[in-house]
Amino acid sequence: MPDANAHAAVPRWPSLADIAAIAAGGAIGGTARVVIGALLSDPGGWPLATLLANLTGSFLLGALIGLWSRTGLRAGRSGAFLATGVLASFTTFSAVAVETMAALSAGRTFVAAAYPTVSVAAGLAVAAVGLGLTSRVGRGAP
Amino acid sequence: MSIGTYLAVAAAASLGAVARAWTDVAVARLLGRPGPAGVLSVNALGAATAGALAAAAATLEFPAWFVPVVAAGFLGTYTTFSSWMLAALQAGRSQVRVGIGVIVAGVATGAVAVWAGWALATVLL
Repeated sequence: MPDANAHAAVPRWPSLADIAAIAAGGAIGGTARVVIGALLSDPGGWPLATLLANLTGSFLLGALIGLWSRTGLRAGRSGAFLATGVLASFTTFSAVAVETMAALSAGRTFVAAAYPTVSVAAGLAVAAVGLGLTSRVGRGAP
Repeated sequence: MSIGTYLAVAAAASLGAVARAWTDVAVARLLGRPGPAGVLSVNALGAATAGALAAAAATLEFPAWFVPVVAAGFLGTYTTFSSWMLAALQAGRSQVRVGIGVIVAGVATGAVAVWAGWALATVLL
């Protein structure tokens, strides 16, 4: 998953404690996404719940990684819990793919074209904003 | 959904997150370096399976809990959108075209995978 030290050596297998942290975070993030899906309807056939979860999660993950890069800290087990567990699990790729396919097969071609496009464009934008915000916070102001 | 279904979703999401982490490490070790190939692999694999499941659910009668638990809980958590976005941004920091490549590869493999899973299940069922 995203690694602020992408140039680092090949990752080791997660330890049992890492797995427990990822599993706990995954339960929280995945369930929160499903709860949002149950609460929000899809106006005009737009999968609003998935879009909201993906954009919120991308912003927060960007902010977290920006914070790590500024402080030089890789948050270890709490990083596995928050990043690989909660935030990566709160967002989903398979739902976007299936919702797009469903829109296409139902003849809603505008949604099928616009939904993945908006998801990717806005997802990149909010992740970059999150990354930029926390990368700069606390740096020497003029 | 019932409380029991939500608990089952949480359990499935735990498994999905751990399976994603393992797949990511396995791909990085196979390639000999960390990078976006792990997240692209989990997303393609998860999209293909989710596509097949969606097509199967249109034909077969599953119990009410099955699709939320397996599709939203396990597969929804096995795949990840935010990590893909961050992988593209980080790859693009050094070379913009590599970052664009991560996005294009994700869209292309995801589209082909979900279509292939969907089509295969439709033909078989």
